[in-house]
Amino acid sequence: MNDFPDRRQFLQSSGLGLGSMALAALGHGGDAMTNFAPKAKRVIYLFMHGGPSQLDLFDHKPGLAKHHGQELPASVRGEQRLTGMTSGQASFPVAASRFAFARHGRSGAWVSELLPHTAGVVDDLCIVRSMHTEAINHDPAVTYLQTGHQQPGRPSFGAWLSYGLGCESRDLPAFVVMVSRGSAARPADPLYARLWGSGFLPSNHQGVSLRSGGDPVLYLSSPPGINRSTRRDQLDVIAALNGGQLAQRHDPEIATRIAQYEMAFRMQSSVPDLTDFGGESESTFEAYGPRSREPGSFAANCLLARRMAERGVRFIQLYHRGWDQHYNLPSDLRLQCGDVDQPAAALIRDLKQRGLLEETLVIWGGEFGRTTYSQGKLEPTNHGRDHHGRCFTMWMAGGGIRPGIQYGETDDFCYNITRDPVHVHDLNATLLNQLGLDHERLTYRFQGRDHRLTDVHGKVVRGILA
Amino acid sequence: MFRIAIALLSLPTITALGEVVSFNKDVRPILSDNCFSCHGADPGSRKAGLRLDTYEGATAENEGARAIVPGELAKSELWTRITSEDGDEMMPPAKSHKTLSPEQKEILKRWVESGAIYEPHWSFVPPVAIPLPEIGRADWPRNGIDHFVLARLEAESLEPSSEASREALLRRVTLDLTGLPPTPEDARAFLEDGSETAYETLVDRLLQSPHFGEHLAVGWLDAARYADTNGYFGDKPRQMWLWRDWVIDALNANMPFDRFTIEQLAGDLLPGATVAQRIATGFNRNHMANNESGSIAEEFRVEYVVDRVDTTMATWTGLTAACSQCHDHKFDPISQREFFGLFAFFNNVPEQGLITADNPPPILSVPSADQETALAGCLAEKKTAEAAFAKIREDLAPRLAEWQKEALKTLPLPPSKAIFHEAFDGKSADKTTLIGNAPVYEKGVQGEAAAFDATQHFENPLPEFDPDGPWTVGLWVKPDGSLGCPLSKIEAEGDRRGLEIILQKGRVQLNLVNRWSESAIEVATVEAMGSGDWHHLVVSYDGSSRAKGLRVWFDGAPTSLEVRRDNLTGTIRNLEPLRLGRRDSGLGYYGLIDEVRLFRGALNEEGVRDWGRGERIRGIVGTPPEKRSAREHEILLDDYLDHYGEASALEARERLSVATAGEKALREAIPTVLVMEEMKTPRATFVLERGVYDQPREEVKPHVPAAIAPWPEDAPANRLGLAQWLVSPHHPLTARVAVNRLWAHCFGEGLVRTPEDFGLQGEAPTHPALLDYLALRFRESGWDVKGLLKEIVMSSTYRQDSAFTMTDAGVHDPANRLLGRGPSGRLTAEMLRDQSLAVAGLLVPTIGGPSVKPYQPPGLWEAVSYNAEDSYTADTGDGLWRRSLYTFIKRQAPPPSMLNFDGPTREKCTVRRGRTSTPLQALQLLNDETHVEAARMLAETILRSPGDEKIHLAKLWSRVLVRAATTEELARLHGLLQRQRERFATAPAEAIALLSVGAAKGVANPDQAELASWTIVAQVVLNLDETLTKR
Repeated sequence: MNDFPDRRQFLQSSGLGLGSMALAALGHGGDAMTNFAPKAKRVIYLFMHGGPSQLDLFDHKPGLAKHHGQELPASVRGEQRLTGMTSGQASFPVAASRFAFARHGRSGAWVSELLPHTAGVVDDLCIVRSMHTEAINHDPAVTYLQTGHQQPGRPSFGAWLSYGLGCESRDLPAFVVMVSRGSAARPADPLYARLWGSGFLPSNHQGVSLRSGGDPVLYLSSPPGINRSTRRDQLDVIAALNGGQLAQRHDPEIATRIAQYEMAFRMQSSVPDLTDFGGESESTFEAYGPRSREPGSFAANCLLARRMAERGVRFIQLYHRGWDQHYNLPSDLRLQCGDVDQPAAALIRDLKQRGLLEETLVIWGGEFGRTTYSQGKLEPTNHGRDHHGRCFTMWMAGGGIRPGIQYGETDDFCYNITRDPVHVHDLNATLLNQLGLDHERLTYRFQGRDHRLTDVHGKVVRGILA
Repeated sequence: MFRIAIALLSLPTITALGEVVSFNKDVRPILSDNCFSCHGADPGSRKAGLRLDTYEGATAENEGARAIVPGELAKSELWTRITSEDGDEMMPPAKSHKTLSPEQKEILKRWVESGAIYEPHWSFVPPVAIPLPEIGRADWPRNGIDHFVLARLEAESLEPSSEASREALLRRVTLDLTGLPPTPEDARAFLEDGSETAYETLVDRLLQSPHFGEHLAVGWLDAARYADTNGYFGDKPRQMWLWRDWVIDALNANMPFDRFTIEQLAGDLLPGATVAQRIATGFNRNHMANNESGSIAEEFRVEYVVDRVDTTMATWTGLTAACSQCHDHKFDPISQREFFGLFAFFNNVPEQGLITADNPPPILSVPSADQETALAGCLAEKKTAEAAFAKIREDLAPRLAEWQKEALKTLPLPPSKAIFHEAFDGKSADKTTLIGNAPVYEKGVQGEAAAFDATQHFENPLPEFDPDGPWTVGLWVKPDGSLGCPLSKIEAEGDRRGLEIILQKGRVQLNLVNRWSESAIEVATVEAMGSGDWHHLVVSYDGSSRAKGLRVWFDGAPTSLEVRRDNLTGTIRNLEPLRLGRRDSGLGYYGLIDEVRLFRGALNEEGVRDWGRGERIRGIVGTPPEKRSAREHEILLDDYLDHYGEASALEARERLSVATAGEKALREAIPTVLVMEEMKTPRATFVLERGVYDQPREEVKPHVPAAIAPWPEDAPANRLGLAQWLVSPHHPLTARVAVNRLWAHCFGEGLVRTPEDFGLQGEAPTHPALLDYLALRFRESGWDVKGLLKEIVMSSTYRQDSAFTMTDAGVHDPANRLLGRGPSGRLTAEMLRDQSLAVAGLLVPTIGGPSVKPYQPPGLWEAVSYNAEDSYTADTGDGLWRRSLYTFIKRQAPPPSMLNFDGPTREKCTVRRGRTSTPLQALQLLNDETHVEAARMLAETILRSPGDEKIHLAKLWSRVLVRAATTEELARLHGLLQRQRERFATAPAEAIALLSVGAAKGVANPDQAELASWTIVAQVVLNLDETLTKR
């Protein structure tokens, strides 16, 4: 194949910093805007979409057993707004958890029997039981957690990070999203492109979906009949012709375009390399569990997350759907936990063993929690729980977060927070802090206003920092 | 890079010493950025009672001091504070993370010393006529625009660029006015026209093109947040395309912009409003609408009204009204009370916050004249058919009653010898146990049926059932959910051995499993059963371990199966019980089940038909007539007619059924559109504390922000009045904002580079006098949109060459703020795709109509939609090749071609698109079916035309780039062509594979290796930077 020598010469001699331009376009905003030394370089966000039940998983309330089936006291329920799904309910019977809890690890954290593997890594986790949000429905609540605002239009967390920190990787995007489907019988609630969108930030900061079927990244594969050498030949001709234009017209955009086409070519090998599990050991698959070889499963996505962490992807977002247990909570919650427990714990161990956990912040949780009272009738073996934003649990690991602690407390009914509340904005302020970003200074001017992920709120939660 | 650019732009202009400091240009940006958020217009956030945004506030005595004492720096507290290094005193305070540079302090110093003169913000002062500025080079200007631009360049001792080549100009202006590249005919006509007026002739022709309105509409659709779905949660489809077509038509007809404004904001309130005027009001129904159950309706209804205020203000005035929803605007003169004054105009729509229809009312049904005629005919026919059939029904009644007395003796019975029968009539079959909640029992096909809600199932060990077959199972189902498992005998884990019947959106899936995904039969019915009614589902298996041994019947009719896996090589026996209402611990079932029967062996067609019929009709006959549902009466009559009806009766029934189906089809075909309407009694509007829907405070009437423009005398206090206010001669913003949008349409950037903010925090215009000059001309011309565009594209400014110039310091004026070169920039998402289709000869030029679905990679909708229920099915035929503004936009998962190229998600009003350059764009342009197909068709068109290889290469180039290729450029293409010919000569299968991309049919029997080689070359031309860019 005739490789035009002047392409190489051009790329080397143009002095236009093509490499850095290409990086900029993949989400690199130039120099990182860190305000202080970061503890974490990247984030793996295990988003449990639908709202997992905190009081069946982490927030142990043994005292509820004696109230089981009785009305939730009005003094506890207070004036809070309920969703339209239970606000008309005549009775609000307390439903104690049906699952056994035990203390685990040196930290003695309470974990439900539904999460045996997670229980094995509690000493690496910071379990925050005092999360709260004003949103009471999925769409606004997820949008709130991911963009700092309940209505659409703002950039997502990963887009802010891409904007603020740029990309570590030379040939992978800064912000990657993966979605897996839960095993629960109940239909999964919808997701939206805005959850990984760039809002008013430049669109190169939007998350790139990594898909389990078809091309892992949209349009990654060359069409049939075009092999790698033909593609190279095409790109060489394109680069030479574009180079000629650049020499005449001096438009820096032309140089950027040349670099983009080169990076596209590199992605055509770097992405398949990322998704090829061929080099993973048998013991790794065993650790991540029986579904870790099944593309698109949460387990496979966790393994991919580790591989992306190794390759410098800045923000790795997993969505696992199906946590909306309005009905059939006992059976569906068990299934959902079965999907995520082992892979999530394996991810923590794997990162730790490879020395990546210190610089990787892992987060697990959903957009809100669930009510202590039963949605619908409380049956001997079955019940459901409605959305509950007044308290819910998330855990974090690595990235300079203090391991082996439980933070915040809720009342005996797991209904209201009694100590150390952590608001959505506080969580986001804290995450940014660990990445070396002051949430008050990571701003973007849009419509005349300096916007922030945390709007005009948010306090770093010092109590959970290592 | 983007960030850095913004930072530079927001630096104040550094005034050279000795120059007068301008409040608007130099001082206000400093105060606005650093001081106004605490010392501005919003009393709620004001610190120390001090406001610096007015002369009165800044000079007033406040706790014994004055922030500013004009002319006396030392006495001015402001100066003390901004120069202090004491943490308690210094301003801005450390925690604001804001600091003033020495240059900024110097500007403030000089301003205070010179008397601290305040000026009103430029955009709130109505434009005034200014004489054309004096210029040196009198031969350059072609119209007024050029005087302003040249004056500015000359002030900087610069020269404008020379004029672009004719080819470049042709491509540029055609792209700008129609969004499409010039056709070869257009190109020839222009390039061969040697007259003085050739360019003007071209411009006039383009302005008359029906594609003009399509292209101009796109930016308007962005602002109006136009899309084809409701956006929140379920994101179901809605019909708004009639409004989109209204916009295209209005732009093509050059509707004056004041009319365009009034009809969209208040067309319904015009006297004798026409259908078109009511469609126009769809502008303010394009906002998202929520169907998430459990949502608080008022919270979202308020959100819709807020969205209308924000969108209307952003689109027409360039102001950020949204800031004053929660508190008084910190920078611009819009109080929170005034925000709700605007809110009151849009608060009277008879609508619900939590929508219950995919097309939420108020909607307008808009039949075409043909549809109206057809519907009238259909209704008349239906009336006649109904009357005729009613007579027959009446005549039949005694016979039917008589027949029922004996019917049980003659109606067929279900096949005997069932090894299992569950009738759900109170008492379960032997050894059947209930797990979970008791189901609700209600009237079924025979006796009672069980209603499942996925919280229960029945189990029976049934050792006598051998799933390895042969066997037949039949059951009645009335599903109430999109996914469920009514019957199974399968392991929950491990091999998942066994059998299961799954219903998904009416389609029946059957899995017979030895080892999951390794040894199994998996089939699904091609057809769906239909919902909302009872259906008899029969499945039989002959024990052959082959998919063809499985058969499925819906209501006695065999249905065809799609085979998904057919490699069962072992037993499907297991130790699991037969389960009704659940697969394993996971998948449950929602809906009713009745009369489950299981047999050994297979049945013939007639046996299956009789079985279902027998059970259904026996069930009805066994029910006292007064307890039968209307549907059951209908089924009984139908069955009787099927078996005993005379030809005349059958004919009457058929006639009625045809008429009913015809009416339904017609009604569904009549398009609708969401529109604005006023409630008879307006809703009261209250200021909402912090903007929160359930925190009403004082009541407000509709009114506008007083500081912007006076309310026109005699204007009604409703949306019509609001629209009249916007286009009134005293309004300082509307014309400027509209002109700025049209300028940006041609130049990529507006004269105001923050089109989303004309307020205090926005950028001042690069050419203020030019903006005002154009705004006045626009209004005085009768708001003539095409006229203004013509003036812009006829100018010498627009016609300049767009090449950048290099200086020792790098590229000169990279953002072209001085307009010393012509416009250039990457084509938009829509233009890129449309260009490929156009040059390939694929573009279907139809204007308007329902949105279309071109190629899209599979799985994008399933990945995010509720329960993975929504699937994207690409159109066949024309829908694949329509202009991109007609592509269906699902807000939850917008088309990747939009997202990849800076298209908005259309969730909120967007008045400016970004223009990024990413490797994902390169991947799409190189690999997307749309563009690969276009390369093939382009290559074919070129090869079909007369000429030899050399001529063909030249044509390929000029078809896309308009200009002729250079010798070197042709040599590059030729080298590639030769190398690809060599490759495909030895790899014919590769050529065939490449040519198989896309549905477009090419010529029969082409020389495949040759066409494939040319396709490779055409791809290169379609991916050149010059192709992707307007220059």
